[in-house]
Amino acid sequence: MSRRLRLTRPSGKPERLAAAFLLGLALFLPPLLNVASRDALVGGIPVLVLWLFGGWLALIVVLALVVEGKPDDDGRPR
Amino acid sequence: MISGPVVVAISIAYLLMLFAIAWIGDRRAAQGRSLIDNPTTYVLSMAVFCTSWTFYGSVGRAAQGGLAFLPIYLGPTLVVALSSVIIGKMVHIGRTHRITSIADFISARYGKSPVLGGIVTIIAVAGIMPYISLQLKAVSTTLTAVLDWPNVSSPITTIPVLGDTVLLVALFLAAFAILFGTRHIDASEHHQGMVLAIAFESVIKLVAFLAVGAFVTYHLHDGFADIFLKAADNPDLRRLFTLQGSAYGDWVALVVLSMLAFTCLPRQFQVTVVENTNRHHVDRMVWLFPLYLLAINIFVLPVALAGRMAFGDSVSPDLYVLALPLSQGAEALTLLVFLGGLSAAASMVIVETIALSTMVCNDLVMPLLLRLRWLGLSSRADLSGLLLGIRRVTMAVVILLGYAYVRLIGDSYALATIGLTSFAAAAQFAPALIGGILWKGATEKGALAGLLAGFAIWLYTLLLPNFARSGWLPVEFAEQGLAGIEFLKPYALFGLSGLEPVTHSLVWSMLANIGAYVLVSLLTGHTALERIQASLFVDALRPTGPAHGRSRFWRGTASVAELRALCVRFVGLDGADRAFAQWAGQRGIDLNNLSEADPDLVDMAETLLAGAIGTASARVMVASVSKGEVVGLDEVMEILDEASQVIAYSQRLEAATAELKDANKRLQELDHMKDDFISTVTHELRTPLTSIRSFSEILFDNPEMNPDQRQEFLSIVIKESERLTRLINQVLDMAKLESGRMTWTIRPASPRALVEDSIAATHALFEDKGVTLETDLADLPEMDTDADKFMQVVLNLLSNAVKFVEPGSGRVSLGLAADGDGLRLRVADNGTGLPSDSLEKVFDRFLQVGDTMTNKPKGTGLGLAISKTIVEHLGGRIWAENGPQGGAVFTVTLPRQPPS
Repeated sequence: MSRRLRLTRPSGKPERLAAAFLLGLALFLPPLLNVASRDALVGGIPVLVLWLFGGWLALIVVLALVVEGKPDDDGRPR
Repeated sequence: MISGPVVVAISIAYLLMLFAIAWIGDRRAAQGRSLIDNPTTYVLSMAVFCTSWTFYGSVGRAAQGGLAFLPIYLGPTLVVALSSVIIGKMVHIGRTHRITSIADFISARYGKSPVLGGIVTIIAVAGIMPYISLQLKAVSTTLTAVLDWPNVSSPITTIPVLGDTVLLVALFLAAFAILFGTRHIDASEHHQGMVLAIAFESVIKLVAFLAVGAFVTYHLHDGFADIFLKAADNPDLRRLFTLQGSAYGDWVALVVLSMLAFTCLPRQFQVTVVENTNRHHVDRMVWLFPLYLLAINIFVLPVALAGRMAFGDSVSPDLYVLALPLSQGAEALTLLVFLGGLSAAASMVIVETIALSTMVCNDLVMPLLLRLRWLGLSSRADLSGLLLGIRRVTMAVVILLGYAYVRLIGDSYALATIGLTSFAAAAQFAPALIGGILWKGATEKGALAGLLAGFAIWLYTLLLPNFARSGWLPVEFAEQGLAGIEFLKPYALFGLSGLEPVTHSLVWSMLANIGAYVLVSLLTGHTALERIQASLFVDALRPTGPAHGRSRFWRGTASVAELRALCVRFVGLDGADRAFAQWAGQRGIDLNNLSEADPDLVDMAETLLAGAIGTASARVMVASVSKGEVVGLDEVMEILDEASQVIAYSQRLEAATAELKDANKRLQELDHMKDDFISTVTHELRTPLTSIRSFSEILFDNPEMNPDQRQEFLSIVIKESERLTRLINQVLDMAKLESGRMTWTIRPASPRALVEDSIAATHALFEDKGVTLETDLADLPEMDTDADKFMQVVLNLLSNAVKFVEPGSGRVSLGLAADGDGLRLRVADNGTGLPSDSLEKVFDRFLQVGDTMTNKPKGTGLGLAISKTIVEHLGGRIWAENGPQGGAVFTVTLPRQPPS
């Protein structure tokens, strides 16, 4: 019986979390923050509020997906 | 209007409920059915991060600066994403080393340094204890607001102390901390009841804030968009929707500051590291904790905007959360909000008090007491009561001091700004803490230099000018700099202006702290213990790291009785007995039979003590009963340095490879020799066979041959047959010797007689070749040997010598002499001698000296091999060398008796 060998992904949870951290830095710090900080409302909500809380929620979803993912997705033993 | 007694009664009922919850938590823990051993409770307990400063203060900040309140919560969100490198690692290390506080952690990392532990404790007390006052002040202010609405300005100092509900609250919290924070002498054990109560409080404050947020947003207004659209009409409020030009620097600084504070605040360290029951709970924290923060912040800006629209400047923005439901007459909601604020304050006060008292007791008071009153302490049988006493007194003092601050300086600028000021103080721990788990090269002196430099800058740029603004120092100090030197202005040090005081202080203190930490670390070295601890901490998560992540480097020993007595004094009889029994049980050792403690037991005792009195003191205590020291620096390097380990491995690997290569070469040589031998033997067998056959044929074909010639031919046939027989016998002998089936007959015999018999047996050989034999035989006493085998050796050596000398002129000398108890036999010839590389190989089986392709081999190649096997069996040695005048010399030594 032949079984297809698959290389485990070279990056495990620690690396993915670090990537999420970098995403957070990009979202929450200037210069992208300057772009979002404008005097306008979208659907009645200030752009900056949408940007920060939306980005925050998106980051939390990413973090949850990374840590609650299937253990065999984890490229390395922890 | 809510009546005072009702509020007080509800507050007290709420606090009593906390006692009940904590009691249930501890009870369940004692039954082994922990209520906190799940990731959700763990995460909720971490929400102690959100104090009353969050609950009331966020709205206050948002009313003034819009979203500027948010970085305080974005920072933790970012730092938990790095949990696998920072927080997760800290949790793992904390559990392995039974760390009791952040001071203990830093002290343990840098060679169990008592000085570092003390410094960290002092910084924590100076920078963070006033924060406890801020919590009590929040309780006081909000209580006044609820009772006196709509007059919200009466200062706390006008209330009589005895009738002060805040004092009552403070006493309740002190009682709670003492009851549930000192249940175990081992401070590294979990305070399950306390954690359960904190988690419950986190739920209450979140529910309360969400309730008031929803009330304001959906009851008073028509949803988020409605509030924002209304606020947008007011340019003063619309300004809050964006960040203003200079706010970016402060924004970044606050994100960084809150990341560091979240990692380093003593109360966060307490719930995250010390109270962690399972290291995998950290995984859930990574997303659930940010979600909690998001939830508690989502209504902050709407409430702030609604508050400003409703009250303008008539009510302090810090009280909007409470004032909005109050002004609408929503009494039940007001009480819920008040309880939410109370739980935020209470949880912070409780955890911070426990964390600080552990630090003060283990890292400040105990090390001093053990030094100053060592003689007094050593005479006491049980110190666990003293330890608990110190902690309890510290707790009461911390909380009552907090209350005193509120009474004395309640309305000062210094107290109002203590939130961020204490963050900045905690951030000073970050370089030593985070650097310590990532960088092995960091040294104790570096950590000390960094902490002191950062603390000094923090004092000068933040705390002292805050004092000045509060009127306790000349205000000129804050506004014009030390001694009027503008260059030294605390809020614009070295001309760095235009930043918020906290940002300014953070920039300079981190610059000084990290700079001194790195520079001094680079310039100083490690002691052995520092080196060990550095590796244990930095390599904690490495699967190939040091065994179990614990230090096992005690070289010394201690008596079990002394060690046990030491543990009993600090952790009590029960605790010590349990730990020792468990240790012995795991290893199947009977402690009663063990008098000297091995390094493993010494290590166990040190870790046990570390949980009670801190790492640094534990080390001093164990050293006092243990003889010997930790291993030397060289050995530490050898054991720990991965690089040297790898080198050692590869060297061993290389050596093994070389051995294998040698063996392989040898095998090939042997294989080659065997081939040669087979062809030689076949050749040797065929030569006599051919002549036997040809002479037999001649005799058969010529029956009338003359008798003389026939006689001559027949003698050749006989001689060749004998040669054939000899050859076959030798091969058989060799095979027997090799397989161990040879029978040995050991009897007393005279060596001289045996040698003479051998000479007689080879006499003809010498005569035939015209070789002279000179003998020099000593008369030796009889010795135990196998006569036949011994003679075989002498015969082999003699016939071998004859073969390699020139016929006619050859001379062989045979000497027999005493050699200690045994004998020494020497056979020398005047032949060509042996090539120097063959001196040892000549005894190999199948080897025939000389080129077998060109020279006809002179022997079978078995004689010397057989002789060597026999001599060695009889316990002697045989070797070959070249004589001074050329020619080969073979020497045999034999003991008087063969080995049994």
